[in-house]
Amino acid sequence: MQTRGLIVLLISKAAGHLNPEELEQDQPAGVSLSQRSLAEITEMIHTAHLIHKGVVNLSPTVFDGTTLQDMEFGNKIAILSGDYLLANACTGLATLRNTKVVELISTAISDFMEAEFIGDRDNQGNPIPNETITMQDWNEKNFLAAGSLMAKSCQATLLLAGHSEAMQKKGFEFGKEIALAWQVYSDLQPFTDLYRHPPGTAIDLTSAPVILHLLHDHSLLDYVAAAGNSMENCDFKKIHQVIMSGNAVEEAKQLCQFHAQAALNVVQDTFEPSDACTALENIINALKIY
Amino acid sequence: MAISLWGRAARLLETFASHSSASRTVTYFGNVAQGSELGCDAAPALTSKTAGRTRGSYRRLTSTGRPLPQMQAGRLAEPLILPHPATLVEEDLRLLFDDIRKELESQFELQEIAKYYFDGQGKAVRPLITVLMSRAINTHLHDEDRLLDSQRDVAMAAEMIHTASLVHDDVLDVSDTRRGKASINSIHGQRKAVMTGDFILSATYTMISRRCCPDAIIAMGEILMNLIHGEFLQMGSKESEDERFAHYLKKTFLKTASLIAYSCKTAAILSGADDSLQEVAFQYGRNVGIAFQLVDDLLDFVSSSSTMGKPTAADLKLGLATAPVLFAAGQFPELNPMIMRRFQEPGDVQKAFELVHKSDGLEQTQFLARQHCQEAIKVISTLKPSEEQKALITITDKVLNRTK
Repeated sequence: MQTRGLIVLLISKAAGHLNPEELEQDQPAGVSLSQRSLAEITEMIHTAHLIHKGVVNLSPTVFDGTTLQDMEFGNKIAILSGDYLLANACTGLATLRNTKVVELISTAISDFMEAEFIGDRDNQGNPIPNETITMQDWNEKNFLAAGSLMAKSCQATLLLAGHSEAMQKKGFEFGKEIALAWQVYSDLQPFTDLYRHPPGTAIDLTSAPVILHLLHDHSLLDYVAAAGNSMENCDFKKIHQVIMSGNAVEEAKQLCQFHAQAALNVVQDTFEPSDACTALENIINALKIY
Repeated sequence: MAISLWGRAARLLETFASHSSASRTVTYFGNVAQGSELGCDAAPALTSKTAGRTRGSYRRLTSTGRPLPQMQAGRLAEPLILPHPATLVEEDLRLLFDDIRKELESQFELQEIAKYYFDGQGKAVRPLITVLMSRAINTHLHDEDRLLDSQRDVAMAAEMIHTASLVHDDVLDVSDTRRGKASINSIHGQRKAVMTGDFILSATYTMISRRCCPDAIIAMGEILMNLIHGEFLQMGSKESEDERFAHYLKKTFLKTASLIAYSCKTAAILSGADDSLQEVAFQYGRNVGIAFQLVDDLLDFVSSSSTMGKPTAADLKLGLATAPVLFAAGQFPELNPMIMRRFQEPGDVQKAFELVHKSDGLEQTQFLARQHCQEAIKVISTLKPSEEQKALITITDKVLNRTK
């Protein structure tokens, strides 16, 4: 879908350029070449990260024989493709000739690497919840994992256009809110889109609805404990049932609205009305529909 | 076995690199902004602030610099007393690993894993060469034997990028040991290893973006692209023998030499070097890098596992045909089908190993390495004479004669 790149382009357009003469002659859309480049780079980094997250843990050995060989080969391709995309992104960043932008985006990459190490995980890297988990933890982890890249790319594109620190901060805030709204939205999918996620499909056990449920009721943790070493053994059907019967889904929907509204506010308060603005509002509003 | 000078120098480096931070003085790094103000185009000036960092008072020449009895890469008229390359820059490199670990500060388990290989046990060849090149070029251009902060950062970045690529390589090659201890992927699993490698890379970029100019960042970016390109090249293979060698050399440049070459070039850029001087630095790095890899490939056939710190005959087992094998195939054509099938059939590895030893493949590899070293010496000799320039020449000697 390449939504992240799209959002970067839209916000660039919505904010406009401080020095329109600086824009290259053949960029009628109001977005400079370097901003376009940044949008591509954001997408590349996001994709590289997704690919790297697909790497499978092979030790201690769970597979053997030809399956192991195939998995090793798969890992190899995943690592190399991810590295290739990252390398391209880094080269692209360097060519922008703006060291502040390089710093912003490379710290964003560090951030989502850090997110992978937060909290307990099983031997395939699936996160495991415990009694003390809170929405504060959810916020911290998802800011790093999802919010940081979006926020910093939005900030960076405004920086490229020569906007003030205050404006860049708005860009950051917008990126952060929309990313968090988006994250809650995807966390909700197993509970709202039963066609694509029939009960029994694996659920991220540190997603918003799960945590919100755990805050009221710890009985879910019994299912987690029963799964032993691998979260994939969890009785997801049961877990789904328990959560649907409680209030967590409603609360999560409200959280999504909260972040979406925050993003909307930034757009409406900061930018002049324009097609780009409308497009951004439409994207945000889509996150409110279940 | 006689203790090689390189072994001594490396141990000296290790001792200093593992000093605790308690002994560090605050004034050593002085004004960090100083380095960044200078940028790429300004000529670095020797001010009162920087005078303290010149070699002057605390450099001591060691008296034991006797030339090695083995192959001499350089043509020395009489046995000169040459300082150990590592001792010349020991102050510069002493806190290198400490500083790298500082850049990798993060939360959670990531911090421990990221810092795992930066314990000072590595050879630190790349930072050593970068720092020596920086000083040599600064002397050549400005008659000042000093090291800019930005150049030191390039040296750090070289080591960090190298280590990040090792972390990924160990996952790719399913390797259990590295530098004498268990590899990250064998302890923590492949996922965390991949994430750690990415993290080290991003930390490197963050660091150089803070203190280097755009030209330097572009040069460092080239390294990354080259490393990946090299890996992909390694996965493929060529039909004809002539193409194979060219393919192998290209892969060697991309995977090994490019890092050293671009680090040297970046150091030159930061000193204000023009294109031809940048090229000198680049060519030195490139030739030394290729020689380094050739010797590495040779050692894979002759050295035992404990000396190297990583498994041997590893290349054959991975299906890689390196220089010794490619040379041997000239004498023993039965190696050709084995190369094409990447030594997969039972007995291939053993047979190939024996054939290489029977042939003159090892000698030819050493000869080629020596040629590259001589080329490196030729270019570096165009610089104004200095201690560091001589040290860079000595390094080619060490590269040729190392045992690990």
